Amino acid sequence: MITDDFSAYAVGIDIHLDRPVTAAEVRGRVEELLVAIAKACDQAGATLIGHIKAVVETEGKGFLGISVTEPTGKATTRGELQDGAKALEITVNVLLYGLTRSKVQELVDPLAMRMLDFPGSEIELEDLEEHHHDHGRDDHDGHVHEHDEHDHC
Amino acid sequence: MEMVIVAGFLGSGKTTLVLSTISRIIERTGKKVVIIVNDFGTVGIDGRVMQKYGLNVTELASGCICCTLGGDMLTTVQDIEAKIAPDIIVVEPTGVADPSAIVHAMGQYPGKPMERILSVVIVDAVRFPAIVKALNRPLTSQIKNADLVLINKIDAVAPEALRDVETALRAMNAEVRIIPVSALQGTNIDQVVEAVVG
Repeated sequence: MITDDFSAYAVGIDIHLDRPVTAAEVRGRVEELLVAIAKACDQAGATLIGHIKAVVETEGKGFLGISVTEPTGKATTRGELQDGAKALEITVNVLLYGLTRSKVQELVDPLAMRMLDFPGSEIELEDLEEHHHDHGRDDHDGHVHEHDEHDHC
Repeated sequence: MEMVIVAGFLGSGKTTLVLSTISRIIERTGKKVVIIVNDFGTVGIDGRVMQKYGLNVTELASGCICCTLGGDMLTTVQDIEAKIAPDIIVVEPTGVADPSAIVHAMGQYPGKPMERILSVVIVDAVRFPAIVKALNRPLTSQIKNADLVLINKIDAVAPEALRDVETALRAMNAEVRIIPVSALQGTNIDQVVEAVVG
């Protein structure tokens, strides 16, 4: 089901906090981020969202796995997180059809910077799949061309 | 050794299903289960989440198991057989994989042949119409080659919508066993366990 307009983008987000954050705050912000990414990709012309997932990892304070599959859907969350984390390692993975990888990155990174900007935090983003090829053929506005449905897999 | 392939489109609930069934399979049968997870790309989110739940997970990253990782999979299965000797290997391929390609690849397995390979395909009841529209041919191929089809997220659709999904699936494969489930809420998971381990 890998077609010409299939794109995969993954970003690692390291957050160092001045003050400990509550589990509810982390969960709320990451859930909102994934929903916002889904909406932004949909509005930018994504034809189908595969999934938008995140895993939040901490040093001894637990973890969360969060997923969104629809632009109008709610996030599904599993895992346990305790209050008091002072550092968060978040990985966001977006798999979708209809946008190029660079367009997805252009949408995801600013949203992550803005929505995960906890007071007094330092945030760093790293493209985790920089060397992976983009299946989509980019045109000037980041959309990919319609394709015959041919599955490589 | 048996192999259970848990396939399905991205976001269909494969990981949730694995998390909700594997512990029951272990409790019920006492069998040793190892999971091979193949996330698309270098980021193994599903495998990391499963490991955090205490499951025995081996990750195959950086590609799609059915197109580029066939050889890696065979090596991994062989390693697992030698080091762990499980009763069941559960393979969760990326949501863009064709499970029949994995079955085909296992035909080249240099070790002792699997006693059984069961291909389970999970369908997302909520997004089924959109997925059929966008990816009809590969989805139909998955369903045609499945031994068991699970319609997941039944808690999130109306009964009429569920009937429509079942009708469409029956048109693709008239014989296959279909079980409606909610992996998140645990609905009909015992039926799935029964179908998988007998």
